[in-house]
Amino acid sequence: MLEISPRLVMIGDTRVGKTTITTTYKSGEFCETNRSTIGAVYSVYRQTFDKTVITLHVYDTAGQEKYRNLVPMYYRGAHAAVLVFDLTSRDTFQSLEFWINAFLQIEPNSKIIIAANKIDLQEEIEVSIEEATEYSLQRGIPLYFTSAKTGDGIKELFDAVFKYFFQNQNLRNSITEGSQKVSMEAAGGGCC
Amino acid sequence: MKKDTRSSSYDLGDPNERKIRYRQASVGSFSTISPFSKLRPSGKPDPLGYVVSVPVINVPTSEYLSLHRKFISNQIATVLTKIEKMINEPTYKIIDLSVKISSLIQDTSNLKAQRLSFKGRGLSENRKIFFLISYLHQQKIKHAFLQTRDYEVSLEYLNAMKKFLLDPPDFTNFHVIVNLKDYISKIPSHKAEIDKILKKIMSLEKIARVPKYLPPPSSFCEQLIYPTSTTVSIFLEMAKNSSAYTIKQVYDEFKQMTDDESELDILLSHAFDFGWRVSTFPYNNFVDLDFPQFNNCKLKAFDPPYVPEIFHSCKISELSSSGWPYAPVVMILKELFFCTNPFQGAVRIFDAMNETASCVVQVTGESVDVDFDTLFPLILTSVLASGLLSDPRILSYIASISTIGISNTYCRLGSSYSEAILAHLKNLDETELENS
Repeated sequence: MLEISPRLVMIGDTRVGKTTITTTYKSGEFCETNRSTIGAVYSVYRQTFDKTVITLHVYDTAGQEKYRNLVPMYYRGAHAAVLVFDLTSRDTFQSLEFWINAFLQIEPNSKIIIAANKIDLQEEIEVSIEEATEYSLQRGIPLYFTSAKTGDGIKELFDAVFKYFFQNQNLRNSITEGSQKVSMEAAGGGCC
Repeated sequence: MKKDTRSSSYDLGDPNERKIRYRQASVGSFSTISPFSKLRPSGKPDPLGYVVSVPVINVPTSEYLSLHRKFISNQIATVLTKIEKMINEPTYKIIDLSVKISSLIQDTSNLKAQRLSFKGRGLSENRKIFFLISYLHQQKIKHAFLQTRDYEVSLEYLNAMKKFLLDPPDFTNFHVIVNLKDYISKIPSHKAEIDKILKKIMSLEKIARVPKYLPPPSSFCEQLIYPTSTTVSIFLEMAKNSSAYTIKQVYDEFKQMTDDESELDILLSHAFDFGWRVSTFPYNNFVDLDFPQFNNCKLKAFDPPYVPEIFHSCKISELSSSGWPYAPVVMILKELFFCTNPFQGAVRIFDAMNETASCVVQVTGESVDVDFDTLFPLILTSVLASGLLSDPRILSYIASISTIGISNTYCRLGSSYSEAILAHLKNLDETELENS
C-alpha cells in the first residue's frame, strides 16, 4: 500500500468561509484522524484510492489584512491551495488574482482549486455563476461552488483535491510517504 | 634528649632488686666505666643504649656478688623470655603478609586480564571502570609491603637485643636494667604512611567495585551514544564544527540515515545535546535579533479575541501575574527557555497552540472553531507575556527550522508559527502600540 501525505493550504480574503469549509468537512464523515484541538487551523483527512492512501494535511491561513504578510510562510511546501472567495462579495472575487499570484510565486508548480462559497445566499450574490465559471476557464483553474452553511459542494471540493493527488503521478513520486507516515503514527490517531 | 633509664627501667617487682637499688642510692657510686656503655653506630639496632648498668657497691662481698649475679641473670632471663614471645608475632605476621601480597599481585594480574576481555564495554569505558579497583589493589599491596617491612625491622631489633642478652658482658659489679619498652618504641616504622594508606584504602573500598557484567545498551537511544558506537563520532564531529554546520545540514544528514521519524528525533536530540556542550544555539548563526519586548504595551493593542474585558487594559508585563485565562499557554511557552532542541521546541509551540484553543473553550464555555485569525493574536500575546523575547534567539532558533522541509507536521506548524510571530513583531512599532 502506497501512502502519500500532501499539504493543502486554505487561502483567500477574510470572512469568505475558509475556516467554515474546513470545519464543515471535518464535522462530516470525512475526517479520519486529527489529534489537535486547533482543527480549524490544522487538520488531517485520509482517503484511500486503489491501494493508495492519501493523508491530506490542511492548513488554515490568515484572513485579516493585518496578518496577510504572514500567509506566504504557510505556502512553503504546500502541494495545493484551495482559494476561497465569497459569491456575495465582489471584492473577494477581485482579490483572486492577488492570491493566485502570491501563491504561485512561492509554489509555482502547485495546484490551485477555487471554491466559490456561500452559494446558498442566492439573493445576495454579487458574482454570478457565469462570471465565476468564465474566470475559472480563462485561468484554467478548477472551480467548485460550495456552501459551508449547508455543506453543498464541500465533499465534491475535497474529493477533487484527493483525486488530483491520486492522479498526479509526478506529485505522488515527489512526496515521500515514509516520514509522514511516521509523523501520523506519532500523532496518535483518534477521530475528530 | 637524655634518656631517663631509671624511671623507665625494666621493673621485675623483685624485693631484692629494690633492696640493691636502695643500697646503691645510700652508699653512693663511684665513677667507673660500665661494660654496657660502649657506643654503637646510630641508625642500627642499638640494644646497648637501652641496657644500663650502674655500680652496685663500693666494696662488694663475695656473698653479695653471688646473689647479685644470680639476680641479674634471672632478670635477663625474664627479659629474654619476653623477647622470645615478642619475636613470634612478627614472624607469623610476615608469613601472613607475604601470602597476602602474593594474592594481591595475582588479583591485580587477573584484573588486567579481566579488563581487556570484559564483555559489553568499550575500551575507554573499561579503563575508567577498572582504574579505581586497580588503584585500590596497588594501595593494598603497598600497605602490606610497608607492614612487612616494619615487622622485619622489628624482628631485627628484637633479635639484636636477644643476641646481646644471651651473651652479655660481665656485670658482676653492676646493676643491670633493661629498658625494653623504650627500646621497642624506638624501633623505626612507617606508621604514619601506613595509616595514610589505610585511610585511602577505606575510602576506595566504598566506591571501587569490580564491575558486574553489563550488556551493551539495548535501546536505540543509548546505543547511539555508546562510546564504541560509530554514531558517537558523528555527534562529536558535528559539535566540534557546530559553527560550520547548519541545522538543515544536520537534519539532512540524519534524514539520509533513517526514514523512521522516532529514530530521526533521537538522532537530532543527541546532535543538539552534543552541540550545546560546545556552544549555545549550535548549528545556527543569528543575525539582526533586536526585538522590542512590548512590556509596556496594553493587551488591547494586540486585539486578541476571547479575552475578558478586565484584562484589556493590563500591560503585557502584568499579564502573567494577573490571572488571565491564557496562563497555561504561557507556562508551556516558558519551557522553551530550557529547550535545547529546536525541533522539540517547535512541537512545544504546537502544544501551546492546542492549549490556547482549550483556553478559548474555557473562556467561552462552548466549542469554538479556532481559526488562524483567532489563534495567532492569542499565541502572540502569550509569547510576549512569557518573556521569550528577552532572548529572541530562542524563537529565532525554532523559526530557523521552518524552511528545511521537516516531515513532522506538528513540528513544521510550530516552527512556522514561530517564524510568523517574529515576522509580525518586526513590523510593529512599540511606541505606537504603547500610545494606542
